[in-house]
Amino acid sequence: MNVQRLGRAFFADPATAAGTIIVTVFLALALFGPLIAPYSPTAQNAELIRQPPSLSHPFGTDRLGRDLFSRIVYGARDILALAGGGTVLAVIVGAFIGISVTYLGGWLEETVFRLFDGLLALPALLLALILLGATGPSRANVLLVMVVVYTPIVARVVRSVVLTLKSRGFIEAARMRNERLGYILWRELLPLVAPTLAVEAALRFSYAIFLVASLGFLGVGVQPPSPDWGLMVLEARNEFALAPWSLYVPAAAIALLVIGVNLMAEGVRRAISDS
Amino acid sequence: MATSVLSVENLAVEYHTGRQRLPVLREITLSVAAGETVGIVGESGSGKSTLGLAILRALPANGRISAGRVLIDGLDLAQTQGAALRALWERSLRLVPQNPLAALNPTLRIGEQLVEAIGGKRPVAEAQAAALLARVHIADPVRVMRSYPHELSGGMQQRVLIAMALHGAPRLLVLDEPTTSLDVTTEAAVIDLLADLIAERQPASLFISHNLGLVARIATRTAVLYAGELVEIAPTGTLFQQPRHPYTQGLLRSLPHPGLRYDSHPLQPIEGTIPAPGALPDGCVFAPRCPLADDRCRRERPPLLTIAPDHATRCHYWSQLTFDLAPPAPAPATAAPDKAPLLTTHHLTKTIAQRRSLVDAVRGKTAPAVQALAGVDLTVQRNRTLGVVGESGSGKTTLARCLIGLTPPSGGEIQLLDIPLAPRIEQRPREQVRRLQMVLQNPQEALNPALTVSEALIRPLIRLGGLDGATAAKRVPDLLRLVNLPPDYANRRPHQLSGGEKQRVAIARALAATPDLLVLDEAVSALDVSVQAAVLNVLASIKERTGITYVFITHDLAVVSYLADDVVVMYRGEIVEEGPVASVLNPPLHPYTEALLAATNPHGIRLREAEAMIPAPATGCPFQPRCPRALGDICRTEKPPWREAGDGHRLRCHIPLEELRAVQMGR
Repeated sequence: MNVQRLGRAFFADPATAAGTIIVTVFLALALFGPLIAPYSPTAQNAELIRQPPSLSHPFGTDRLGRDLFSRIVYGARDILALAGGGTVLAVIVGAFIGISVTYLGGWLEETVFRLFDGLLALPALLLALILLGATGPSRANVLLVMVVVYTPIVARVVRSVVLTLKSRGFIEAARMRNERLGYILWRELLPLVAPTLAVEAALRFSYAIFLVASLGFLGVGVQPPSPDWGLMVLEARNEFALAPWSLYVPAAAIALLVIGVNLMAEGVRRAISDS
Repeated sequence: MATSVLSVENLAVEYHTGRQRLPVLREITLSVAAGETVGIVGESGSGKSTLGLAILRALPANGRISAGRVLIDGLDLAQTQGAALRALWERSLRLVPQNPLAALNPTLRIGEQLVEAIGGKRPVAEAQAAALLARVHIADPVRVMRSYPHELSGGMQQRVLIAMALHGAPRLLVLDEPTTSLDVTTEAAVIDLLADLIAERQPASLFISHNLGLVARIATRTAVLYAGELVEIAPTGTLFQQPRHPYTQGLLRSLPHPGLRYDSHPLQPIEGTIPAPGALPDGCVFAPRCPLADDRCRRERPPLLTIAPDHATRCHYWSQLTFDLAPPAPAPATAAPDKAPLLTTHHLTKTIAQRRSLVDAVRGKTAPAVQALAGVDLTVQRNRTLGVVGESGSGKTTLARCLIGLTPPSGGEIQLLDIPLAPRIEQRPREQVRRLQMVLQNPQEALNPALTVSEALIRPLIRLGGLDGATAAKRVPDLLRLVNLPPDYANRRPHQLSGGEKQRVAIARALAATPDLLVLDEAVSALDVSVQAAVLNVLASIKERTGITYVFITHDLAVVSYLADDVVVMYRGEIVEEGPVASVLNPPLHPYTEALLAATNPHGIRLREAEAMIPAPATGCPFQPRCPRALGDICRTEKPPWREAGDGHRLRCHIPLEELRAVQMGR
């Protein structure tokens, strides 16, 4: 596949470009947070509680007088690291299981995928709640939960591709030369699954952002006083009448990031299917 | 000539892709009179299907007629719009498409679809539909009308579509590869039917096909298309006897003709490949591949020259062309078989169980099973080519897969040099795997699109040849040369190769670890004739150099008689006849072999049932329900005996050999 052509196809569409810009901005916030944020995300200021947006506090302050802009900037780091990390892990594990189990087939495939179907029968959020309830809230557990929730989905998508590849002539040719299993799985099949995997990863990422925020909002994700966006929505909920901006700001950040990632995912899908 | 129903005048068609405009057809001029059938032949990429669609005004959305016009009974199709166009389509223009299953609506019964096509009052239309089905030799029209498309065989579906195309009084019939997806025996019956119906209804017909032999049987005149241009048109007999265009001559020289063998009369493939629509040469479109091209050809595009009242060609030097295929020489006596067989099977069986439904499983019903191989005793002689022929469903591919171990047999034994082989390839020792290799049917799936040619060729050298990566890489140019590909192809990926080139790489890959036996499963069937000729030549030359043994599985008897030394004829998972090619095919003795050979002969014998898929009888001869020479009760009740015809030639039939021979002598 031609990388240049892929790049050109990707940026040809204004929606994709917009999505890319949005995601890049949030990534920059996450990476250079301390340089950008004017205040510490946890510094309280009893003099300046529930200040509406102003020049010194562009997004206003919350009930403890913390600067909302700084909290959003630092919060970007958490949500992108957790959602991104969870997605990458789930894609790796899902691709591994999806390719190897589907290729091997038989009762192994039957068992694994029936089990996955069982997991998928539960809504992602409910499953995540049950697991976090059992393991206790922490960043590591949020990552783990995302792998459990998303691996079956990735594996199933991978399976649908591998099933069509499995009976192709080149796989039979590999059998006819006593080929190593590892070569068939990772040299022959993986590159052909990769485009599908890229599209799936981009899509999964946008769901993961939502999941991390939802877990924060439900109080089982990242714990206070961390500047988690979901947590900020939760804390601001009771303050709505007094300080509506403290709810709007984190909610808008979540929405904007999800939209940005979705536009980008659509661009990835289109660029890959075009080339 | 009678006034023509269809006249195509100077037609040009373009396809738009992105910002590009690709000329797909240029300067096509053609006319077809009522009752006349004009054959349109050309290889893939020649634009023949586009011509059919352009004439019916059914081009895809990105296609456009950019010059010229199409007249139907003097009416310009481009000027006809809306209701008038629909009425014209409904009344006069008909298409019989290539893939019948795709053309029928899977959710509607056949009767519904016919009634809709016929139109008018329902009881009348239904009666007409039944009559049409009877006309296309469907024995039980009422049952067929109640069936859904998937319940019918391919041949039946195609008959339904022909019936659909024939209602009323069609003026123009476009037949776009109407028999390509069918077995030869079914094809023979469908072509006979079409010839009859055209003679009876007198529509002007265009018969589009890549199969020259088929066109020769049905067309009165034949036009040859190359790279979007009509390069030659002539009465069919003239075109095949005295072609006046180098491309037509090249096509005919690429065909395996009866009686010609690879060692005495090698095929002469056309070098190079057809130019892409965006990259046409300046002068004559065929010049880059033409053995006679000179500067004038590369500079100056030849016009379509009328060289005889009915014969036109697009060649500057038509008058200097000569053409004579070598006369069929008597087949040379093939070398006496090496008496040590390389591979044998003993009563090999394969039963394929159908999936049963959960309900049936609970009821305790056993799953229905298909007997794909019913006890095959095969002997492959060393250093010879064994052709395996039969219709689809005869078990020839299953046999190949069992030999290789891709599909484990249900019973029986396979021996390689007297050593029994494990049923699955994964259980066989490396040395046995190396000795038996196979080239699969579909070149498009043969190579992994993610890997380079070089990587595809290196792996068998490493895995089976025991070489290390660096040594294996040095062998790649040799392997490419073996199949006549330039060494720089090593770095290409499959999407940069044509179908024929892919198949040649697949052959090189199979040969990399120097197997003793190479099984070729319909390895040239998906290729255009000129490409097929090149691949067959490669196979013949490899055999001469290395003494490799081939098992050549095909439905094409012409290829078998060209390349094979011995032949096995399979029917319903059983061998019905086997022996040296010259003896089995010339003349054919077993009625099934006879019918397979006769399928390409307009006056040959036909099977009683054209469909290969009719249920097999529980007792007697499996072929008996379709046998045109069945004797009666004995065929229905008793398995036919093996009869020895001498020289290793034997067949299973109740009819005594003397009678079978006498029938052939009398013809």
